[in-house]
Amino acid sequence: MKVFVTGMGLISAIGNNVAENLRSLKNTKTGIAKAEFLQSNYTSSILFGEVKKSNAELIKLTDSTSESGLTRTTLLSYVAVLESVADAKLNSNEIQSFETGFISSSTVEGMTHADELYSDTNLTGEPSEFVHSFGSGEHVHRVAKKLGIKGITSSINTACSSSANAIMFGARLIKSGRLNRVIVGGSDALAKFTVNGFNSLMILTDEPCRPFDIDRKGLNLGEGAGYLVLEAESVCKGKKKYAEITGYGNANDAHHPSATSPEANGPKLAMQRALKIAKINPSEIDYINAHGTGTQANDNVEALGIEKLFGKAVSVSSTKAITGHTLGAAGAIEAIISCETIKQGKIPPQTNMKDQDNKNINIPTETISKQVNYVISNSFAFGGNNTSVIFGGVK
Amino acid sequence: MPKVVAINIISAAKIYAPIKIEDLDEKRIVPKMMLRRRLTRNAKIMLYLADKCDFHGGKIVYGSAFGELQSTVGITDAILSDTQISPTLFQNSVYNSAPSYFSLLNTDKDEIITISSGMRTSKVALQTAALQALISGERVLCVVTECLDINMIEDVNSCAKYLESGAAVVLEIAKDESGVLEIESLKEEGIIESLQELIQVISMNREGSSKVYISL
Repeated sequence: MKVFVTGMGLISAIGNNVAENLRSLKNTKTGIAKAEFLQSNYTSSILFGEVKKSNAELIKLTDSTSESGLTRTTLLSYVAVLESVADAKLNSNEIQSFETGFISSSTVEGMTHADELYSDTNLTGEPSEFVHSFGSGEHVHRVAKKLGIKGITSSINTACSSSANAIMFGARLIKSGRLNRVIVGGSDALAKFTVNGFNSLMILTDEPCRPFDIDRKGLNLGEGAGYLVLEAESVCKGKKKYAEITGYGNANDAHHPSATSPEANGPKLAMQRALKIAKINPSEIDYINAHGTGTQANDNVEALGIEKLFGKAVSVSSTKAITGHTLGAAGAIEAIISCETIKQGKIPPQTNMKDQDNKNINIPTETISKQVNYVISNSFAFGGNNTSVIFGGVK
Repeated sequence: MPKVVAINIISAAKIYAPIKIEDLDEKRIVPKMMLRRRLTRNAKIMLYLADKCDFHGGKIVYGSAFGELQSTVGITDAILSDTQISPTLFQNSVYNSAPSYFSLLNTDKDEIITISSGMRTSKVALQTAALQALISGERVLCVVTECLDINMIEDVNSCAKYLESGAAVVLEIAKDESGVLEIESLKEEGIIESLQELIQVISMNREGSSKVYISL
């Protein structure tokens, strides 16, 4: 059973929908800047990839004025999910069928309000409207209710590989014949919790991040949401298709709680498993959308894993240089970019890289126009959770 | 209507305590002191349950509605008091910390998926584990833990008598559908809702029903 991507929705620091994101990508217009809406001690000293809309604007945009306790994470998911189902031209019967599922992810969800909620607990009076919105599955319940989804729903939380795992899970539900259609993706908003947490690791940079550059200083945290409508071949005949999901693989490093193994064992194994499912050789991959956070540790290891498997034969770039690292949403956002790379035949360049660190892999600094048959999208996470997803052209 | 698959329970374990589970046999299960000292409460409970199920490697589906709440509170405290956050505390705050420690301990490079779906967490974890078993043909560990013992918990807790709890099963796809039962809708009093579905599967298993249907 083939699984196709038939709809996509995306909001990030570089645009409020898929078209705006693609335009920014084409023009290498960055979304990394001083944050306007995030409340944090670090907004004046660190750069972020913040979505250029306030919560009030997002509520209006998604027609959600009657709902209370809406976190920014949920609002971002509303924007991207609604765009994806409209793009796939799903009608309400299709969305509300038992054959349609919703597999999403978030690492932050209501932690955007963690300090406020924690301060609330020992006070008298009415609790915060966000008290029921803390759990990382809250946006899933809200989206399912808003759209009337009756099929399987789930919220995956494996840190920065979360939405790549959601895509893998959704594809499996279709391939195994359990569902005909699954909306997959993830959403994460900027939060004091993650800003302060990543700052404690000393891997946030005060300049636009430079993945794979020898002088890279760290990552820019970002926010956003990305969703893809996956459909079984049998139910999408004659429909517009962006790409086919041909392979996926997850592997654990079993090395360190927050660092990948210096030999790149986990990332390499995830890519190998994905290639095996796709039944293709490394030489057939045209482009790798790298995890590429811009930290010393990640980029070294990822580049080594790519070097070992692909050498210089494949083009590699990280689009986090202009979107920021959107954590639980990153896998889905980069999956959408991967699908568009195939559809448009244009490989995005590596922005901000001046002096390439590992010169044994091929990192273009200009857009490459060519026929793109297969793309790997990598997502690696704390705990050594590594996931690779392969997208192929529609045949 | 939703489809179902029949699963066979190979082994099962559960544990809970009103405040803190006292004996998790940590020194035997995690002999290396440096690793043992880093473990979160969820990780200690998860490792104990995996050991009880005699599971030492393979595919894992881990679930927790509230995740690493103690790390979350520690970080939130630091933010509110404008003090330094411990990097280890932040690394330990991700929801997949517990199964990641399992993979470190057992050098297990197999697939790990972490679910957090509020009060439906164990239902969704069972669905995910059943799908894993269906696709791979392998046995899968499905484990859910919750650790709610944080400052001021008594002010906000009205749903669970036991602040620490966990349940685990090792499952595979049933080879035939003879004697397969629906999961009972009974509830074990005082156990947090996010664990109930898994607890029911374990209770049925202890009463002699090793096969149950999972809606998938």
